[in-house]
Amino acid sequence: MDDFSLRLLSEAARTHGPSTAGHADARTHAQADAAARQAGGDLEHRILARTRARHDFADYSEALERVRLLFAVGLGLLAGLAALAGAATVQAALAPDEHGQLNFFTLLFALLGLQFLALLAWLALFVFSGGANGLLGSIAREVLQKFVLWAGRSGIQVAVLSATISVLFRSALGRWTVGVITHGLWLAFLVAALGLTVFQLSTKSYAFVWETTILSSSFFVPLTEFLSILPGLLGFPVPNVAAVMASEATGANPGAVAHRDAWAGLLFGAIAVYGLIPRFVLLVFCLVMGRRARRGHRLDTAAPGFAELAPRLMPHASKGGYADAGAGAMPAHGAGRAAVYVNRITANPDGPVAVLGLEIERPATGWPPDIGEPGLIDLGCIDSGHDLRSVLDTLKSPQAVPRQIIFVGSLLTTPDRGLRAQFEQVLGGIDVPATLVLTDGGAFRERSHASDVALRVSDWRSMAAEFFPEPENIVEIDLDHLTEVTRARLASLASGEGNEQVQASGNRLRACFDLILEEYAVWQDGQVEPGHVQQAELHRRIAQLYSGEDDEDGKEGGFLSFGEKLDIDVSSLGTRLQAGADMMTGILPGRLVADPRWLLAGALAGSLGCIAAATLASPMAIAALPLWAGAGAALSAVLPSREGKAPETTTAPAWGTDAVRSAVLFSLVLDAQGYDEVTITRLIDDAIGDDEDSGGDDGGFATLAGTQGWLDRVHTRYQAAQKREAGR
Amino acid sequence: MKDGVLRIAVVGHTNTGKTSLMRTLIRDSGFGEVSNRPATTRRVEGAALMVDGEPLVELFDTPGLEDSIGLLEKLDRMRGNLGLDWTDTLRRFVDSDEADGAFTQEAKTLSHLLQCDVGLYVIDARDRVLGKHRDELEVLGRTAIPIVPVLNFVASNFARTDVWREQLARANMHAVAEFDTMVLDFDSELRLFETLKVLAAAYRPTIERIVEHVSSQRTVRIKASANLIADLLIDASACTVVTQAGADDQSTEVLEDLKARVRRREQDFIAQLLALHEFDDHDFSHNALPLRNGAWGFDPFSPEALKQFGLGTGSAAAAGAAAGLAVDVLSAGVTLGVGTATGAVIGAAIGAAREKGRDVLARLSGETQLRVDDATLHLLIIRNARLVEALFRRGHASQDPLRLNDRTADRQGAETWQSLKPDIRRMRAHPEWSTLDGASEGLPRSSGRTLLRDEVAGRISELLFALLDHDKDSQAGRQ
Repeated sequence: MDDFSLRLLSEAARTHGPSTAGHADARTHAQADAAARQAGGDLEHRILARTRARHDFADYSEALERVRLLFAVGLGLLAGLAALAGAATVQAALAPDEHGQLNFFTLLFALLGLQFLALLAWLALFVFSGGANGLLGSIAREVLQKFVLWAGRSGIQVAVLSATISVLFRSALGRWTVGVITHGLWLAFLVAALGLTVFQLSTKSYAFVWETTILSSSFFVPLTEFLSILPGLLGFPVPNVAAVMASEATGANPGAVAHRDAWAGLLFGAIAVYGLIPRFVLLVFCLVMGRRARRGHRLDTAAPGFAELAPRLMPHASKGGYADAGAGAMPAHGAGRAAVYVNRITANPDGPVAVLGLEIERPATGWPPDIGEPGLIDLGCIDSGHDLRSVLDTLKSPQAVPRQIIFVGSLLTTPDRGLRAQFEQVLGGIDVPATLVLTDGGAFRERSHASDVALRVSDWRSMAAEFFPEPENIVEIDLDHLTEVTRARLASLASGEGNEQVQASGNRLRACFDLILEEYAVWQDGQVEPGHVQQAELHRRIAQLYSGEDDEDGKEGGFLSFGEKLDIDVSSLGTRLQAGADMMTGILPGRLVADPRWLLAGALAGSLGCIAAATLASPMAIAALPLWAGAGAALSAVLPSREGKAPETTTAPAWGTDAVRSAVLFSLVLDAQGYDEVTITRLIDDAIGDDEDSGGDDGGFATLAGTQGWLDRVHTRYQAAQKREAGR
Repeated sequence: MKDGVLRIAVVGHTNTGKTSLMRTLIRDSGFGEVSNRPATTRRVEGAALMVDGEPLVELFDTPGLEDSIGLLEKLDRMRGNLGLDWTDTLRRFVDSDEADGAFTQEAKTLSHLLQCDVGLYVIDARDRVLGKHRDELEVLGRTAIPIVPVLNFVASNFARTDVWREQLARANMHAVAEFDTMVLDFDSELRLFETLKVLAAAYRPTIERIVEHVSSQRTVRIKASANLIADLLIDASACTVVTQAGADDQSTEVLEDLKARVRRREQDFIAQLLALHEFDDHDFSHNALPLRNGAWGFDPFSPEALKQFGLGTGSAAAAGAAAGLAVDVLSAGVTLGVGTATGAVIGAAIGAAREKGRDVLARLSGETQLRVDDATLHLLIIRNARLVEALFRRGHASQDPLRLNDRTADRQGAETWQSLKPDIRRMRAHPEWSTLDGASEGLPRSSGRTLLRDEVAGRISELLFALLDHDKDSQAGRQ
């Protein structure tokens, strides 16, 4: 098969392929792709190879054969029609009068006039518009399309036909195709006409005359001479002046009969010179040019359907596989650190607490962190091998023996073997209780996805597990954003006690829930669904309860610490709100995420919390914020739609239930500050329960009493869960 | 220089994005394994950049360096004992038994770096500059292989690009490349290759071929994307359904059917576009595109979708029932004169005249023609152009989502729309150009459609180039 046919088929496969390719074809496609890659060369070459390697290539080539056949039949029929037309024209024009005379010029015009005008029009359009389709060609194309479409059946046939038509009748190639058809059909017309004329003149006797009403012989003589120039040059006998003068139609004119050989010669000569020869020359010209255009035809590899193949057929890169022997075991712990600690320093129970930072930046709240201990050894931060050696030296001196050592690591750092080596070296030489505080949680959350945070915490835990066998000796406290709760937690690490914090937090949560209930009563009373402004205001008041009173910045806890000041501009607001919503929904337990109502509440709590955090910085009414107008719209965009919403089981309309859920989540998350993310999720899971719409004696979640009952239950469950966590 | 193939080792601290850099350079999101955890890559894995089937650059992904403090100590000790120069010490080290102990990963990396022509040292620009980094640079410097530091995550708001540049300058590294692996930024990729040209001067012709290839690939992709949008546009614009006047029930039904077809067509378009850009399903997990589960969140006929791109619903909304669709009733034949514009050639005029005749007849017999309205077509162009933009800036979204309501982009989109309006009128005059009329599925469209598609695609690729360049400008403004 020649390349042009292959290109046609590729084009057909392009338009046909995507709509019919099912998954069952995937394997055969993969084979074709592989063959194409094997073929090499440029993209077009590979596409052609792929077409050839298609499992249904035979169908395609068969379809092409059929389309070709149909075109041939169609063209043959048209040519036959054209020939018939030519014959009919001659038949009609060769009708002599009662004297057996024929008007030569009428006959000539009938045979050649239309054809010659069409030829001139074609030439003019060809020269001036750069390409002409020609009248007959255009009609023929339409007819051919209709005919082949009518005859074509299968999907592949239609695709091949479609490709053939679009390639053959398009731009550069199209003008030559149509040219060939135009000139070919006219040629058929003329050959038939000439043939029948020769036959008629051979078997019948005609005399050629001319006649006129308003013109004279002085017009017909030069006209005849002009028409005779070319045929005369070609050796056709042509009438001379005397013959023309003698052939005027004046009844039965014997002079005309005498000159009929010359007139017949001119007739044949004119058909040849003004019809056959130019049409033939143009036909050959169009054929040659068409052939050239076919050879020059290339696939448009950027066309839809081809462009998508590029990555598969001509990969930008090839994978080279592994270049080493194997993954190998991860280095064994302690391997290579040959140091044997003969004299391990043991803890001094009356000694101070030592603090040591590992590859961390100075926290915003200062270094060393305030752990509520006056005499504390600041071991500094390890940043290089030199730092490590000096820390090891310090620890060897007897006056610096601590009773406990607190490491501070950063969640921004990937826990790697280098860090493990540092633990190994420091803890290998001393036998002192150690605790690891992971800071920078806020900063890490800001630049990562919610799921990454839990992963990072667990990576730290597993890396450090051998040095901190008790899980509670690794805690996540953001030293950049200390709240009252996290301060207490930090202090309790040093003192080793820490249960009164549960009680303290219980009181604050109680206050939050009272606040929520108060607002809920207002909404129920007014029978209105609270707007975003009211809800944001509620969140702000909740956040205020949790912001440390002694914190001048008024910044609220670490978890939602990204709303610094009021310089959130409206354009980035959507992003911020989305981040807040993602963060909050990210820590919800899966059970709640699956429930659209809680998913909505989580997104609401996260994004409203973001606004609340922003407004805490300067206490002003949220509705007066310049960005609020934008925030409303941005919020709506952020919130998940509630399609698939579970039907409310209560009959009474429940106003503000979304708002209550969101505010409860927000309170719980604020209250759980200082726990790591996994624990927060667990606490929420335990606290929320699944009884908010179970009805019950007090009317369920939809009434004030019911809500109060539910909030009480949440509170109790939360405290129980918190106690459980403390005991873990 | 062995066979003209440039060999590059990608090295760096653990979890800085070495495998991501590989993936971005070789455009294969399935290469290796990527996670936000330490020591994800444990083996050296190679890949080659191909031009016309010929490998020109070999890249090797290596395990991360982790314990550079310990490694440096070790090497210092070895050199002291052996009295060799640094390169020989390193060669001795990677062959030694020590390399099987605590420093297996480091030894693998170093041994591959020693076999390469140049090393790319990947840095997470959001990290603080720490002693361990200085130690790593120290060790790498001793290999006597040219090292190009590559600052990853520079597009992040938390990047400390300047600090890193200063620190690298102090370590005598001035040819620094900024290349965010999360952002497929064409210009920074070119700059990376430019930097390589300087440091691996012997491979200049190789690198130039790669650069040329990468540039032409990008152009082809932009044009192919524009072709897809143009096809979508023609299908949606030309699609016409006819109802009898007065038969309101039927109109609603037909209208819904039309909307459904356009919706499906856009969905097919998205699938084709993602295939063109080799976007895998799992790429969606990081919100890299403004899509949800591979589809635009908003129906193209919804006012919300229009609002997203700052488009008004205009008069169509006023019509009420047909939100998003213009009802083109017999109104002084606004679209009647269109076909004649093509009539330079006698033959072509026949087709147009017949078309017109049908149109007029339809109007006179009380039929109402329904077509997709301007606002929706405008939306289809702009939002899918922005989708293409997002694909070229792939991954950017995880740090800084594509802002859909971008004024400049909307303005550029509106200009393109204005310039396309005459073409849209032509499309509307040719219902047979649309592939959305189920009946003629697969039938040959006329060559006029193809020519118009090329023309429209040209204009849309101009828009795409503008959007992508605009992105570059705004990035430059941020820096």
